[in-house]
Amino acid sequence: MEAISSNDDTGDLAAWPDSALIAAIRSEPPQEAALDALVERYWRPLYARCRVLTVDDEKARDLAQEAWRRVLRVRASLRPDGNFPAYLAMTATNAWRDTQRTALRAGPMAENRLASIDADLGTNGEDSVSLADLLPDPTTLTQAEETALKLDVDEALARLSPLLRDILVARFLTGESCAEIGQRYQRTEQTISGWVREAVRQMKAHLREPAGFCGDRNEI
Amino acid sequence: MEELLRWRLARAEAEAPRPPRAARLLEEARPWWEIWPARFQDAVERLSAIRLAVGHAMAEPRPGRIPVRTAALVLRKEQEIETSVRVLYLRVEGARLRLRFELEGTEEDARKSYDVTFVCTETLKPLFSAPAQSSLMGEYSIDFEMSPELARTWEHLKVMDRMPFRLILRSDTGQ
Repeated sequence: MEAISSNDDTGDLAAWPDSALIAAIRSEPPQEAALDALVERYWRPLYARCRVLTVDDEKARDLAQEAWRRVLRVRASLRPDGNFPAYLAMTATNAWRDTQRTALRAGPMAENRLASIDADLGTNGEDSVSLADLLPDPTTLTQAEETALKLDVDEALARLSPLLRDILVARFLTGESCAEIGQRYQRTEQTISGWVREAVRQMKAHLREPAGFCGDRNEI
Repeated sequence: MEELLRWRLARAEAEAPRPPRAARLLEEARPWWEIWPARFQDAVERLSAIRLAVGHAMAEPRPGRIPVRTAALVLRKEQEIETSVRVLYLRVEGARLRLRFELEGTEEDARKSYDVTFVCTETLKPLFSAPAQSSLMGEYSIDFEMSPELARTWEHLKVMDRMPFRLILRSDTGQ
Protein backbone atom coordinates (compact mmCIF):
# COMPACT_ATOMS: atom_id res chain seq x y z
CA MET A 1 0.00 0.00 0.00
CA GLU A 2 2.98 2.32 0.41
CA ALA A 3 3.21 2.87 -3.32
CA ILE A 4 -0.24 4.43 -3.41
CA SER A 5 0.76 7.85 -2.21
CA SER A 6 3.53 8.24 -4.76
CA ASN A 7 1.98 6.53 -7.74
CA ASP A 8 0.04 8.79 -10.10
CA ASP A 9 0.14 6.46 -13.07
CA THR A 10 -3.47 5.58 -13.86
CA GLY A 11 -2.24 2.84 -16.16
CA ASP A 12 -0.81 0.99 -13.17
CA LEU A 13 -3.68 1.90 -10.92
CA ALA A 14 -6.16 0.33 -13.31
CA ALA A 15 -4.74 -3.06 -12.39
CA TRP A 16 -4.99 -2.51 -8.66
CA PRO A 17 -7.65 -4.31 -6.65
CA ASP A 18 -10.59 -2.34 -5.27
CA SER A 19 -9.20 -2.57 -1.77
CA ALA A 20 -6.03 -0.64 -2.71
CA LEU A 21 -7.93 2.00 -4.68
CA ILE A 22 -10.42 2.49 -1.87
CA ALA A 23 -7.60 2.85 0.63
CA ALA A 24 -6.15 5.54 -1.62
CA ILE A 25 -9.37 7.54 -1.81
CA ARG A 26 -9.95 7.21 1.94
CA SER A 27 -6.71 9.06 2.58
CA GLU A 28 -6.63 12.82 3.13
CA PRO A 29 -6.39 14.32 0.60
CA PRO A 30 -7.79 11.54 -1.55
CA GLN A 31 -5.67 10.40 -4.46
CA GLU A 32 -7.38 11.61 -7.62
CA ALA A 33 -5.70 9.07 -9.87
CA ALA A 34 -7.00 6.23 -7.71
CA LEU A 35 -10.49 7.69 -7.84
CA ASP A 36 -10.25 8.05 -11.61
CA ALA A 37 -9.32 4.39 -11.85
CA LEU A 38 -12.19 3.34 -9.58
CA VAL A 39 -14.71 5.50 -11.46
CA GLU A 40 -13.47 4.13 -14.77
CA ARG A 41 -13.84 0.56 -13.49
CA TYR A 42 -17.44 0.88 -12.34
CA TRP A 43 -18.87 3.73 -14.38
CA ARG A 44 -20.43 1.61 -17.13
CA PRO A 45 -22.28 -0.91 -14.93
CA LEU A 46 -23.37 1.91 -12.63
CA TYR A 47 -24.66 3.99 -15.52
CA ALA A 48 -26.48 0.97 -16.94
CA ARG A 49 -28.22 0.34 -13.61
CA CYS A 50 -29.22 4.01 -13.45
CA ARG A 51 -30.43 3.87 -17.06
CA VAL A 52 -32.81 1.01 -16.27
CA LEU A 53 -34.11 2.80 -13.20
CA THR A 54 -34.60 6.22 -14.79
CA VAL A 55 -35.26 5.13 -18.40
CA ASP A 56 -33.57 8.35 -19.49
CA ASP A 57 -30.00 9.00 -20.66
CA GLU A 58 -29.50 12.34 -18.97
CA LYS A 59 -31.17 11.36 -15.71
CA ALA A 60 -29.10 8.19 -15.65
CA ARG A 61 -25.88 10.17 -15.97
CA ASP A 62 -26.98 12.60 -13.24
CA LEU A 63 -28.00 9.75 -10.96
CA ALA A 64 -24.73 7.90 -11.47
CA GLN A 65 -22.79 11.06 -10.63
CA GLU A 66 -24.95 11.67 -7.57
CA ALA A 67 -24.17 8.13 -6.41
CA TRP A 68 -20.46 8.85 -6.67
CA ARG A 69 -20.87 12.14 -4.81
CA ARG A 70 -22.68 10.35 -2.00
CA VAL A 71 -20.02 7.70 -1.79
CA LEU A 72 -17.31 10.34 -1.70
CA ARG A 73 -19.02 12.20 1.15
CA VAL A 74 -18.60 9.12 3.31
CA ARG A 75 -15.33 7.97 1.76
CA ALA A 76 -13.50 7.99 5.10
CA SER A 77 -15.71 5.16 6.27
CA LEU A 78 -15.55 3.02 3.14
CA ARG A 79 -14.38 -0.51 3.85
CA PRO A 80 -11.56 -1.62 1.56
CA ASP A 81 -12.60 -5.25 2.09
CA GLY A 82 -16.27 -4.59 1.34
CA ASN A 83 -18.21 -5.27 -1.85
CA PHE A 84 -17.70 -1.87 -3.43
CA PRO A 85 -19.69 -2.34 -6.68
CA ALA A 86 -22.68 -3.59 -4.69
CA TYR A 87 -22.39 -0.61 -2.33
CA LEU A 88 -22.18 1.78 -5.27
CA ALA A 89 -25.23 0.23 -6.94
CA MET A 90 -27.17 0.36 -3.68
CA THR A 91 -26.23 4.01 -3.21
CA ALA A 92 -27.47 4.83 -6.71
CA THR A 93 -30.71 2.96 -6.12
CA ASN A 94 -31.25 4.76 -2.82
CA ALA A 95 -30.55 8.11 -4.47
CA TRP A 96 -33.12 7.28 -7.12
CA ARG A 97 -35.64 6.24 -4.46
CA ASP A 98 -35.04 9.56 -2.74
CA THR A 99 -36.05 11.39 -5.90
CA GLN A 100 -39.25 9.35 -6.02
CA ARG A 101 -40.13 9.92 -2.40
CA THR A 102 -42.36 12.92 -2.84
CA ALA A 103 -44.41 11.05 -5.41
CA LEU A 104 -44.47 8.08 -3.08
CA ARG A 105 -46.18 10.17 -0.44
CA ALA A 106 -48.76 12.01 -2.44
CA GLY A 107 -49.06 10.71 -5.95
CA PRO A 108 -50.10 7.51 -7.58
CA MET A 109 -47.52 5.73 -5.43
CA ALA A 110 -49.26 6.77 -2.23
CA GLU A 111 -49.90 4.17 0.43
CA ASN A 112 -53.49 3.67 -0.67
CA ARG A 113 -52.24 2.69 -4.08
CA LEU A 114 -49.83 0.22 -2.55
CA ALA A 115 -52.66 -1.26 -0.54
CA SER A 116 -54.53 -1.93 -3.73
CA ILE A 117 -51.63 -4.04 -4.89
CA ASP A 118 -51.73 -5.95 -1.64
CA ALA A 119 -55.24 -6.97 -2.49
CA ASP A 120 -54.53 -7.87 -6.07
CA LEU A 121 -52.54 -11.04 -5.84
CA GLY A 122 -54.60 -13.14 -8.17
CA THR A 123 -53.25 -14.18 -11.51
CA ASN A 124 -55.04 -13.58 -14.72
CA GLY A 125 -54.77 -14.88 -18.24
CA GLU A 126 -51.81 -12.67 -19.12
CA ASP A 127 -49.54 -14.51 -16.70
CA SER A 128 -49.78 -17.59 -18.80
CA VAL A 129 -48.14 -15.82 -21.75
CA SER A 130 -44.36 -16.09 -21.68
CA LEU A 131 -42.07 -13.30 -22.81
CA ALA A 132 -40.67 -15.66 -25.43
CA ASP A 133 -44.09 -15.58 -27.05
CA LEU A 134 -43.98 -11.81 -27.24
CA LEU A 135 -40.36 -11.01 -28.04
CA PRO A 136 -37.72 -12.11 -30.49
CA ASP A 137 -34.58 -13.76 -29.19
CA PRO A 138 -32.29 -10.80 -28.30
CA THR A 139 -29.20 -12.79 -29.33
CA THR A 140 -30.28 -13.14 -32.96
CA LEU A 141 -31.38 -9.59 -33.71
CA THR A 142 -30.32 -7.35 -36.54
CA GLN A 143 -29.22 -3.82 -35.65
CA ALA A 144 -32.64 -2.42 -36.52
CA GLU A 145 -34.47 -5.09 -34.55
CA GLU A 146 -32.23 -4.51 -31.58
CA THR A 147 -32.94 -0.79 -31.65
CA ALA A 148 -36.66 -1.46 -31.87
CA LEU A 149 -36.55 -3.91 -28.98
CA LYS A 150 -34.61 -1.44 -26.84
CA LEU A 151 -37.26 1.20 -27.46
CA ASP A 152 -40.03 -1.26 -26.65
CA VAL A 153 -38.38 -2.33 -23.40
CA ASP A 154 -37.71 1.29 -22.43
CA GLU A 155 -41.31 2.20 -23.15
CA ALA A 156 -42.56 -0.71 -21.09
CA LEU A 157 -40.23 0.15 -18.19
CA ALA A 158 -41.16 3.82 -18.35
CA ARG A 159 -44.84 2.99 -18.09
CA LEU A 160 -44.31 1.04 -14.90
CA SER A 161 -44.70 2.99 -11.70
CA PRO A 162 -41.35 3.78 -10.04
CA LEU A 163 -42.22 1.29 -7.32
CA LEU A 164 -42.73 -1.59 -9.72
CA ARG A 165 -39.59 -0.66 -11.68
CA ASP A 166 -37.69 -0.68 -8.42
CA ILE A 167 -39.14 -4.08 -7.58
CA LEU A 168 -38.16 -5.52 -10.97
CA VAL A 169 -34.60 -4.23 -10.66
CA ALA A 170 -34.26 -5.46 -7.10
CA ARG A 171 -35.64 -8.89 -7.89
CA PHE A 172 -34.10 -9.63 -11.28
CA LEU A 173 -30.94 -7.49 -11.50
CA THR A 174 -29.83 -7.18 -7.89
CA GLY A 175 -31.08 -10.67 -7.16
CA GLU A 176 -32.79 -9.80 -3.90
CA SER A 177 -35.34 -12.26 -2.60
CA CYS A 178 -38.95 -11.19 -2.03
CA ALA A 179 -38.30 -11.48 1.69
CA GLU A 180 -35.34 -9.09 1.47
CA ILE A 181 -37.31 -6.58 -0.58
CA GLY A 182 -40.19 -6.95 1.85
CA GLN A 183 -37.95 -5.98 4.75
CA ARG A 184 -37.07 -2.74 3.01
CA TYR A 185 -40.64 -1.87 2.18
CA GLN A 186 -41.98 -3.25 5.47
CA ARG A 187 -44.28 -5.57 3.58
CA THR A 188 -44.70 -9.31 3.70
CA GLU A 189 -42.88 -11.64 1.34
CA GLN A 190 -46.26 -12.56 -0.11
CA THR A 191 -47.05 -8.93 -0.87
CA ILE A 192 -43.73 -8.45 -2.64
CA SER A 193 -44.29 -11.61 -4.60
CA GLY A 194 -47.58 -10.07 -5.73
CA TRP A 195 -45.81 -6.86 -6.74
CA VAL A 196 -43.27 -8.83 -8.77
CA ARG A 197 -46.07 -10.66 -10.56
CA GLU A 198 -47.85 -7.39 -11.18
CA ALA A 199 -44.70 -5.80 -12.58
CA VAL A 200 -44.10 -8.73 -14.90
CA ARG A 201 -47.74 -8.73 -15.96
CA GLN A 202 -47.60 -5.03 -16.80
CA MET A 203 -44.33 -5.44 -18.70
CA LYS A 204 -45.88 -8.18 -20.79
CA ALA A 205 -48.97 -6.10 -21.43
CA HIS A 206 -46.91 -3.07 -22.50
CA LEU A 207 -44.65 -5.15 -24.71
CA ARG A 208 -47.65 -6.70 -26.38
CA GLU A 209 -49.10 -3.32 -27.34
CA PRO A 210 -48.27 -1.85 -30.76
CA ALA A 211 -45.16 0.33 -30.94
CA GLY A 212 -45.75 4.02 -30.35
CA PHE A 213 -48.65 3.48 -27.97
CA CYS A 214 -48.74 6.43 -25.64
CA GLY A 215 -51.61 5.70 -23.31
CA ASP A 216 -51.76 6.68 -19.66
CA ARG A 217 -49.04 5.38 -17.43
CA ASN A 218 -50.07 2.73 -14.98
CA GLU A 219 -50.59 4.13 -11.56
CA ILE A 220 -49.95 1.07 -9.48
CA MET B 1 -37.91 -11.24 -17.54
CA GLU B 2 -34.49 -11.48 -15.95
CA GLU B 3 -32.92 -12.27 -19.31
CA LEU B 4 -34.66 -9.34 -20.95
CA LEU B 5 -33.61 -6.90 -18.23
CA ARG B 6 -30.04 -8.14 -18.28
CA TRP B 7 -29.98 -7.74 -22.05
CA ARG B 8 -31.21 -4.14 -21.69
CA LEU B 9 -28.66 -3.55 -18.95
CA ALA B 10 -25.86 -4.81 -21.20
CA ARG B 11 -26.99 -2.51 -24.03
CA ALA B 12 -27.04 0.46 -21.67
CA GLU B 13 -23.59 -0.43 -20.41
CA ALA B 14 -22.27 -0.54 -23.95
CA GLU B 15 -23.73 2.90 -24.65
CA ALA B 16 -22.58 4.58 -21.43
CA PRO B 17 -21.13 8.08 -21.79
CA ARG B 18 -17.60 8.84 -20.68
CA PRO B 19 -17.14 8.79 -16.90
CA PRO B 20 -16.73 12.07 -15.01
CA ARG B 21 -13.28 13.08 -13.84
CA ALA B 22 -12.30 12.46 -10.25
CA ALA B 23 -11.37 16.09 -9.65
CA ARG B 24 -14.85 17.23 -10.59
CA LEU B 25 -16.57 14.60 -8.45
CA LEU B 26 -14.42 15.47 -5.46
CA GLU B 27 -15.18 19.16 -5.87
CA GLU B 28 -18.92 18.53 -6.16
CA ALA B 29 -18.89 16.22 -3.15
CA ARG B 30 -17.41 18.85 -0.85
CA PRO B 31 -19.83 19.71 1.95
CA TRP B 32 -20.70 23.31 2.73
CA TRP B 33 -18.69 23.34 5.96
CA GLU B 34 -15.54 22.71 3.95
CA ILE B 35 -16.37 25.37 1.40
CA TRP B 36 -17.28 27.99 4.04
CA PRO B 37 -15.46 26.92 7.23
CA ALA B 38 -15.82 30.31 8.91
CA ARG B 39 -19.56 30.28 8.35
CA PHE B 40 -19.78 26.81 9.80
CA GLN B 41 -17.71 27.77 12.81
CA ASP B 42 -19.97 30.71 13.50
CA ALA B 43 -23.04 28.48 13.27
CA VAL B 44 -21.53 25.90 15.59
CA GLU B 45 -20.73 28.52 18.22
CA ARG B 46 -24.34 29.63 18.20
CA LEU B 47 -25.46 26.03 18.34
CA SER B 48 -23.35 25.53 21.49
CA ALA B 49 -25.10 28.44 23.15
CA ILE B 50 -28.50 26.95 22.42
CA ARG B 51 -27.50 23.83 24.26
CA LEU B 52 -27.14 25.84 27.47
CA ALA B 53 -30.57 27.41 27.07
CA VAL B 54 -32.18 24.05 26.43
CA GLY B 55 -30.34 22.62 29.41
CA HIS B 56 -31.87 25.22 31.70
CA ALA B 57 -35.29 24.64 30.27
CA MET B 58 -34.95 20.97 30.98
CA ALA B 59 -34.07 21.27 34.62
CA GLU B 60 -36.29 18.33 35.40
CA PRO B 61 -36.21 16.10 32.40
CA ARG B 62 -38.18 12.90 32.52
CA PRO B 63 -36.06 10.40 30.70
CA GLY B 64 -37.96 7.57 29.12
CA ARG B 65 -41.24 9.46 29.02
CA ILE B 66 -40.91 12.31 26.55
CA PRO B 67 -38.40 12.79 23.78
CA VAL B 68 -35.50 15.00 24.79
CA ARG B 69 -35.20 18.21 22.82
CA THR B 70 -32.19 18.74 20.66
CA ALA B 71 -30.66 22.11 19.86
CA ALA B 72 -31.14 23.36 16.33
CA LEU B 73 -30.11 26.42 14.40
CA VAL B 74 -32.19 27.42 11.39
CA LEU B 75 -30.27 29.37 8.76
CA ARG B 76 -32.31 31.20 6.18
CA LYS B 77 -31.36 33.88 3.75
CA GLU B 78 -33.28 36.54 5.65
CA GLN B 79 -33.01 35.31 9.23
CA GLU B 80 -31.43 32.87 11.64
CA ILE B 81 -33.46 31.16 14.35
CA GLU B 82 -32.10 29.48 17.45
CA THR B 83 -34.54 26.77 18.35
CA SER B 84 -34.84 23.05 19.05
CA VAL B 85 -36.28 19.89 17.58
CA ARG B 86 -37.99 16.93 19.15
CA VAL B 87 -37.18 13.62 17.56
CA LEU B 88 -40.43 11.73 17.04
CA TYR B 89 -39.12 8.67 15.22
CA LEU B 90 -35.65 7.32 14.75
CA ARG B 91 -34.50 4.09 13.21
CA VAL B 92 -31.12 3.04 11.90
CA GLU B 93 -31.25 -0.05 9.76
CA GLY B 94 -28.16 -1.10 7.89
CA ALA B 95 -26.69 2.27 7.00
CA ARG B 96 -30.11 3.84 6.51
CA LEU B 97 -31.24 6.55 8.89
CA ARG B 98 -34.96 7.22 9.11
CA LEU B 99 -35.73 10.19 11.28
CA ARG B 100 -38.81 12.30 11.87
CA PHE B 101 -38.67 15.42 13.98
CA GLU B 102 -40.76 18.37 15.03
CA LEU B 103 -39.19 21.77 14.57
CA GLU B 104 -40.08 24.40 17.14
CA GLY B 105 -40.83 28.02 16.47
CA THR B 106 -41.04 28.08 12.70
CA GLU B 107 -44.66 27.03 12.21
CA GLU B 108 -45.72 30.43 10.92
CA ASP B 109 -43.18 30.33 8.15
CA ALA B 110 -42.68 26.62 7.56
CA ARG B 111 -40.45 25.50 4.73
CA LYS B 112 -41.02 22.46 2.60
CA SER B 113 -37.49 21.25 2.96
CA TYR B 114 -34.18 21.86 4.70
CA ASP B 115 -30.66 20.71 4.25
CA VAL B 116 -29.89 19.36 7.72
CA THR B 117 -26.34 19.19 9.00
CA PHE B 118 -25.79 16.82 11.90
CA VAL B 119 -23.18 18.14 14.31
CA CYS B 120 -21.63 15.87 16.92
CA THR B 121 -22.66 16.98 20.42
CA GLU B 122 -19.33 16.09 21.98
CA THR B 123 -16.84 17.27 19.39
CA LEU B 124 -18.97 19.87 17.55
CA LYS B 125 -17.64 18.42 14.31
CA PRO B 126 -19.95 18.03 11.33
CA LEU B 127 -21.07 14.44 10.80
CA PHE B 128 -23.05 14.63 7.57
CA SER B 129 -25.84 16.57 5.95
CA ALA B 130 -29.10 15.18 4.64
CA PRO B 131 -32.25 16.57 3.06
CA ALA B 132 -35.35 16.84 5.26
CA GLN B 133 -38.80 17.04 3.73
CA SER B 134 -41.87 18.48 5.41
CA SER B 135 -44.42 15.81 6.20
CA LEU B 136 -46.86 17.68 8.47
CA MET B 137 -46.92 21.26 9.71
CA GLY B 138 -43.70 21.66 11.65
CA GLU B 139 -42.67 18.05 11.13
CA TYR B 140 -39.89 16.86 8.87
CA SER B 141 -38.64 13.49 7.72
CA ILE B 142 -35.16 12.37 6.82
CA ASP B 143 -34.40 9.13 5.03
CA PHE B 144 -30.71 9.02 4.39
CA GLU B 145 -27.83 6.66 3.93
CA MET B 146 -25.21 7.34 6.55
CA SER B 147 -21.67 6.10 6.66
CA PRO B 148 -21.73 2.47 7.82
CA GLU B 149 -19.31 3.39 10.60
CA LEU B 150 -21.60 6.05 12.09
CA ALA B 151 -24.65 3.86 11.55
CA ARG B 152 -23.12 1.20 13.76
CA THR B 153 -22.68 3.65 16.62
CA TRP B 154 -26.27 4.92 16.29
CA GLU B 155 -27.79 1.50 15.76
CA HIS B 156 -29.33 1.27 19.21
CA LEU B 157 -30.33 4.90 19.57
CA LYS B 158 -33.91 5.41 20.74
CA VAL B 159 -36.25 8.38 20.49
CA MET B 160 -36.15 8.88 24.27
CA ASP B 161 -32.36 8.98 24.38
CA ARG B 162 -30.39 12.18 24.51
CA MET B 163 -29.34 12.65 20.92
CA PRO B 164 -25.62 12.57 20.09
CA PHE B 165 -26.13 15.38 17.59
CA ARG B 166 -27.35 18.91 17.15
CA LEU B 167 -28.77 20.22 13.94
CA ILE B 168 -28.15 23.07 11.56
CA LEU B 169 -31.07 23.47 9.18
CA ARG B 170 -30.35 25.44 6.03
CA SER B 171 -32.95 26.77 3.65
CA ASP B 172 -32.83 29.30 0.83
CA THR B 173 -29.34 30.30 1.87
CA GLY B 174 -28.13 30.28 -1.69
CA GLN B 175 -24.98 28.54 -0.49
